[in-house]
Amino acid sequence: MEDYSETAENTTTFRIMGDFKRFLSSHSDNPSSELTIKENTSKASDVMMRVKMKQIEAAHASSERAHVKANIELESKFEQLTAQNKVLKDKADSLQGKVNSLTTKLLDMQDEVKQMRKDKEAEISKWENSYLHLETLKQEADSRLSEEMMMVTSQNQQLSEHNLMLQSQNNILNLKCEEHYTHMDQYKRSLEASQTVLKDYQETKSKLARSEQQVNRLKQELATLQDTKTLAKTLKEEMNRLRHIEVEFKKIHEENYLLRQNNDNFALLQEKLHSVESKLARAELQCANVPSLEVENNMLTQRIEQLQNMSVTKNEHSSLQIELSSLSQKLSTAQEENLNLKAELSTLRNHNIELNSSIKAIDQKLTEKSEICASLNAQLLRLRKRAGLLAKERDSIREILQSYDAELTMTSHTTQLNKRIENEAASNKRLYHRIEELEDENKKLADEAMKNRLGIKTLESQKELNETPDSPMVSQTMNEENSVLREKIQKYEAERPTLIEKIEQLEAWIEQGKIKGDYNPENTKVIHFAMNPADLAHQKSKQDVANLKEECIRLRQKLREAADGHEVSVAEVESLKLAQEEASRAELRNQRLKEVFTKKIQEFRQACYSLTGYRIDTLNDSQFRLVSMYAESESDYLLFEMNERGEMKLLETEYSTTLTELVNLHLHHQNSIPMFLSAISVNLFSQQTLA
Amino acid sequence: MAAAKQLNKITLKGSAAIVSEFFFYGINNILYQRGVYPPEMFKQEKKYGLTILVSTDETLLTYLNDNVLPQLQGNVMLLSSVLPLFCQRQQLFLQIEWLEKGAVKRLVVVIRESETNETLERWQFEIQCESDKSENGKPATKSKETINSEIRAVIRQVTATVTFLPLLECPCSFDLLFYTDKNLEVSEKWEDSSPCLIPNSEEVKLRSFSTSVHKVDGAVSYKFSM
Repeated sequence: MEDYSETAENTTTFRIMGDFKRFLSSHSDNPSSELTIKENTSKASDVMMRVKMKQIEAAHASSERAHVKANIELESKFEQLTAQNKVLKDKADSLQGKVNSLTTKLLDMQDEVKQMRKDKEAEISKWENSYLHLETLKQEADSRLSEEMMMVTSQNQQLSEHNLMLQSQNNILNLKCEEHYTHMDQYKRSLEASQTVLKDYQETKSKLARSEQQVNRLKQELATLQDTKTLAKTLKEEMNRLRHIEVEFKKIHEENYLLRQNNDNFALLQEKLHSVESKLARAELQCANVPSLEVENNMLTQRIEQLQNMSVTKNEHSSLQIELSSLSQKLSTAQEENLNLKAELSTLRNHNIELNSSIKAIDQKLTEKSEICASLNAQLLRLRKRAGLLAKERDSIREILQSYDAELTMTSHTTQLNKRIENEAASNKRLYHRIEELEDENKKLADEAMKNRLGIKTLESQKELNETPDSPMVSQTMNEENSVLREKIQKYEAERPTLIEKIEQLEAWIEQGKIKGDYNPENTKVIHFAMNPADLAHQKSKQDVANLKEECIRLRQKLREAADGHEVSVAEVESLKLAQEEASRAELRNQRLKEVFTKKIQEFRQACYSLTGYRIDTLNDSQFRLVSMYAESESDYLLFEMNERGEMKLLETEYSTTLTELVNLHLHHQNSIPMFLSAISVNLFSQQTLA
Repeated sequence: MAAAKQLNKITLKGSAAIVSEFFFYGINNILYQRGVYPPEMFKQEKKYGLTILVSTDETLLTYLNDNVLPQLQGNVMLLSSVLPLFCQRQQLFLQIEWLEKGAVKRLVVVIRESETNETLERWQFEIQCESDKSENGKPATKSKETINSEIRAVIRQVTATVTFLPLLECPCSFDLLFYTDKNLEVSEKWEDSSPCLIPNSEEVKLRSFSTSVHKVDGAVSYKFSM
């Protein structure tokens, strides 16, 4: 394109140049025409021709250039087209490849289609075959069907015949059935009738039962009513009695109160009696003291008289008189006291007698009262019991009354209540009976008690009567007995401590014995286990002792034999001789063997000496000394030592130090002792022969 | 509360078990302390708050537990179910049946010289039945702790007696004597024995303990030779 643009520029420049030449030419034409027309005309034509040529040439060049340009353009276009062509060709190639692949596919598909067709055809043929087969089958089936149809028709005919038969039979049966039905109807009717009759009967029965029940109930009610009537009557009576009993109870209470008061009075009286008795005792004591006082008094009076006599004789009159007066005063006071005491005593005795009488009276009263009290107590107990029973009765009656009240309010439970009332009444009756029995018993017992008491009293009074006359005698005998008994008691009491001591001693002794292991063989025994360790140990020790004794005896025997001197038997001597001979023979053999060995060893050594030219002596510790046959002196010897592996080593000696060359050659280089030895023997031999 | 009370009541069977157990340990203690058996034949065991040495010798144990009391095993099984409190040890010693009946009045451990069979020591335990009270419905109320403390005191005293008892120089063995009711029926393994009394003996009374059913009084008598 640039080239193209350059050409365009170029063209413009050319044109400008052309225009300029044209102008020049025109300008030149005009002046020349006037001066020289002929010459000018030729010249002008030449120029003209030249210009024209030049113009043509320029045109040619421009055309050529245009041509070139066009060529160039065309070439570029051609190149573009060729590139496009190439692209298209590629596309075409690819498309052709595709076409090829598609054609191959198509062919494949065609093949497949062919195969499919073949398969289908085969299938079709198969189907056709099967169709044919089926057709044949169908035909067969048709034939069979026709046959069967025939059979069926024939069977049908038979069946229809049979049917006809059956219908006829059915008709007959139906007729019979109808007859039966009629019968059945008749029966049913009769049954219904009978059922109705039965129902009526049952109803009547139930009615009858009900009526009977009602009758019974009514009867029961009647009976209960009668019972209740009687019960009410009895209860009324009982209530009346209860009132009576309550009144009696009140009376008894009052009586009881009185009796209690009596009892208290009695206790007071008893207390009084006790105090009086104690007073009496004191008085009696004082009475007893009276005689002693009298005796004292007498004594004192005697003394006074003595003193008075003494006083007469002695000069101490005044003092004695004073004393006497005081004593006489004392005496008088004592006498007064005595008199007073006597009077007191008499009064007290009187009082005592009175009191005794009163005591007796009180006793009598007391006994009476106590009897009365006992009887009253018994009565009281009885009455209390009765009161208790009555209270129970009352309670039961109250309950019954309450039940009656309930009955009045609730008449539904009449039968139960009636029963209860009956029960209560029965229990009441029983209780009454019981009470009566108890009362009878009580009465009997009370009577008996009274009788007994009376008997006892009479007996006691008799006893008193009997005792009173004999009392002093009895008391005497009693006293004697008493004294004897007292003596005995005293004796026993004296004995007692000694006995207690003895008992203690004995107990201690028994205790000691118990600790020691004593026992009462009458009621105890001592047992132990038969196989106890002590017995076993004892047996074992016995056994051991026996064994030891046996052994001892044996040993003793032996010892004795030894002491007596053992007599040697012939057999023993012979055996000894034989043994000795054998021993000597063995020794001899040993000696001979030794001799033989030494001889043989000598021979062997001699042989070694003469054969090898060396005398070999064994020294201690596996060392060997070799002395050559040709040695100059005995001191020229070689020492070899054998180690554990059996290898020989040369030891340094004086002689071996002179053989360093040989040692180096044969032992260090060649490592052969025989060579070394033979070399030495060769050397020595040569030296001797040379010498 | 009821349960606690129940525990403190000691029945006749429980008491018999306690007494029997005491005899087992007491006899072992005597045998060890008196050197009847060599000390290496004993092992230590904790009981009653003490370490008591108990024999390991099988024959001795079988003698104590089985042979002396052949019927015991059954009883022990029964008792162990009834009285778990008192039967911590399976091997109970002494004929519990006899104890329950009150048939055994005394148990004596006799130490005799094996060779001469001479009695050297008698350890005597008097067993008194105080069971009349408890049978009349009044249960015994002694607690187990107090009983154990009493037993401990007895065993300690037995151990202490070694200080004054003469040394047993010769080989000795022991036997157990039972003082029983005359009418008590015993098996063939038992036989009558002499009381094995010691002439010229010295006696020492030991402490006693009581389970409130049984009371056991101890005493030791020994051959005294100046």
